Amino acid sequence: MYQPNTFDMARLKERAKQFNDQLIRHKKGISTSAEFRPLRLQNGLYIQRHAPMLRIAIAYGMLNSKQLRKLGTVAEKLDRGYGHLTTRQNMQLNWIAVEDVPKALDELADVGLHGIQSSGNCLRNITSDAYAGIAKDEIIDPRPFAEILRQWSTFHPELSFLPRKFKVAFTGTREDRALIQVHDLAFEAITNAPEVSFRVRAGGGLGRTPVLGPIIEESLNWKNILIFTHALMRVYNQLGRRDNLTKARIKILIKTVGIEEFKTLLKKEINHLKRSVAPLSEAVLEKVKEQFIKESEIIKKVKLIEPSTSEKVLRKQQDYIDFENWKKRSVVEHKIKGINIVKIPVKGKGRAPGDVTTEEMYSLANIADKYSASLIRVTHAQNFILPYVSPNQLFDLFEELKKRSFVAPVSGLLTDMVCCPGGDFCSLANARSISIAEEINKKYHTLDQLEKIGRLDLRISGCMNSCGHHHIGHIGILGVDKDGSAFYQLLLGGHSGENDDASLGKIIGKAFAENEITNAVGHIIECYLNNRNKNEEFRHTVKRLGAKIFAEAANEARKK
Amino acid sequence: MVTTQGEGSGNIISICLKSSQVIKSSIPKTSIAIEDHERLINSNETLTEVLLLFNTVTDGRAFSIAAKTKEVNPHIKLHAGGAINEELCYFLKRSGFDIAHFERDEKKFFLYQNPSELYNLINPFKCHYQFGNDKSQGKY
Repeated sequence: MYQPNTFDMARLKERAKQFNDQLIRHKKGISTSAEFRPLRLQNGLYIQRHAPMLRIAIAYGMLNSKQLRKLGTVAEKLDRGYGHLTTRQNMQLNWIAVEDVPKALDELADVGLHGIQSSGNCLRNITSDAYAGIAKDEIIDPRPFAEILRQWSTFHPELSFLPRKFKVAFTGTREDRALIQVHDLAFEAITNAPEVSFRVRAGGGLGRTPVLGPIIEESLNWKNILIFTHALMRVYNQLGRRDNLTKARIKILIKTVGIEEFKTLLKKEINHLKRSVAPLSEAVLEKVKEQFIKESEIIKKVKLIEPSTSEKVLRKQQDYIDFENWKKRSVVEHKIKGINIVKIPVKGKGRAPGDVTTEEMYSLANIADKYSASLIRVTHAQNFILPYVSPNQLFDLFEELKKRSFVAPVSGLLTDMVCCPGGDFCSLANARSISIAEEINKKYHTLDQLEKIGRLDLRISGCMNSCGHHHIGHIGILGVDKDGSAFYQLLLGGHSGENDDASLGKIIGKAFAENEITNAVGHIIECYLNNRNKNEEFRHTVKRLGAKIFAEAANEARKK
Repeated sequence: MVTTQGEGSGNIISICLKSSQVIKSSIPKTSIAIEDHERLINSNETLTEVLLLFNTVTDGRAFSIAAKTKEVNPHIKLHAGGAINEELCYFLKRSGFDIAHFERDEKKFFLYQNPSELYNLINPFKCHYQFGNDKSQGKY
């Protein structure tokens, strides 16, 4: 993982102090609420339905155990003892008092964490594939390139008051685990030789107008990443609409001017910048790479772990099947032979998807120390992964995770769903999401049921802002408001780019009432089970049969 | 809101972003709205001092315009006016503005009368990630 150096750490401390001073000035009346708003948002501080919310960036989803413990401590001391993992590798504290935020930021800065550019109309904290650097299918590790862009864009005056929020993602693989197709700007590595090059997409995004980002540059040499991004941001900053928030994202600008004209404008800016800005050098890249923990050091630590003996005992025990099932779904091959990646879903009965308590954060930090060289990561699907686990420790790890309810539901199945905070917390939401997630969890609570259904990606958003990414779920649920009551639309046909171009789901019919939606999902699943071919996954059956048959099945849930 | 050309009046506070001090400064005769920024960047007009007017406090276009202006004309003196507030000073400075003009406001006196407070507001960071158009050094 990236280890903040003294330069980074000093900036984080200064940033925490800057925010404290800004807050004091605001309290003294020197800045109005409207003037203070962008300043607090640029530090991740929202005012939500019931309380302020602080969004903490987790760079490329990577945490060490010390950082996770600190998140737990801050959540306990200054919030209500839990945090919420988002769909963009952040953690949110939902109940923090505004007055406590400077203290929280100062404490977080001690371990290299912050809320910088995690919200607001600025270039947001940059994300990457949670499997970056460990994925077997990786062309390159994208994190050093993302880190260069992160550093350059931090506190950049030209990127701080954009027409609207601007999200950037990097991936080093063909499989789109970083959701690059739904980002405002995204870099997808296409080759590492003779030099690293990226395919660049711009103007993707979900929300009110979902768009898969079109390719605007087929092959960009990494040395030109900054010039390219700077030029693109200038075009957007200049021409993006500021008169209508719902039409202010770059996707609307690209649609309005047309992609060819956009590319022409971009080229003009690039040529302008090239007069004064040099491409990046190998030396810069090497320096940034040095800030990442060396893999050889991590492996050395992992190999020091004593081999487990309990797996031999297990083979005589009843729970062998549970362990094998868990392994099948939760243990992933690492790019290094002899090391495993382990998924830890933060989902299940009695838990809002992505919610993790202070006590659990402490436990997971201990587990990371014991089994994964003190490293743990956060995915885009509101889960954790342990990136470096020795195979001979898997059983002990399974046992520890089981004790803390981190093994059920196993990942990739229906109840490993993505869900936004919805109407329980968010001031923008039209409907509750967590309660729907809970109902579905209750309905499908046995492993047999889940295994029978197989891989199914369910995503729930409480409003059209799409924080739950409902457009790219195999089944998407969108909360809408109908005359003051919460209703839910169902979408089918979406997926997030599983070794393929992503696809946006489409609404299959009229919205369902709150007391109908879970059954509607149930009827869709029944329809799938009755009509699927052998070994056919849900999304492929939907593609083969079309949405109509599923829409008719879902209608069975409507109360007459 | 400072929008007029000519001499600065008693109702205006001007801050030199380089020295972080309140100064006496005239408002430049040439004022340019953000929409007319091409005049700053592309024209052959030899402008030496210009007031760039912000439409709203969150209108970030002015920062790019200032940066581009300084890239093509490093010697021009850029003044910021219009819908700006003191909290923007850091961004104004780093994007290339030299002087910012604000309406005098009693609530803000403590800021103007306290040099270290004003200095910290304009210079919250000792070092920067990126080079600034105020000639500040950076990593990139």
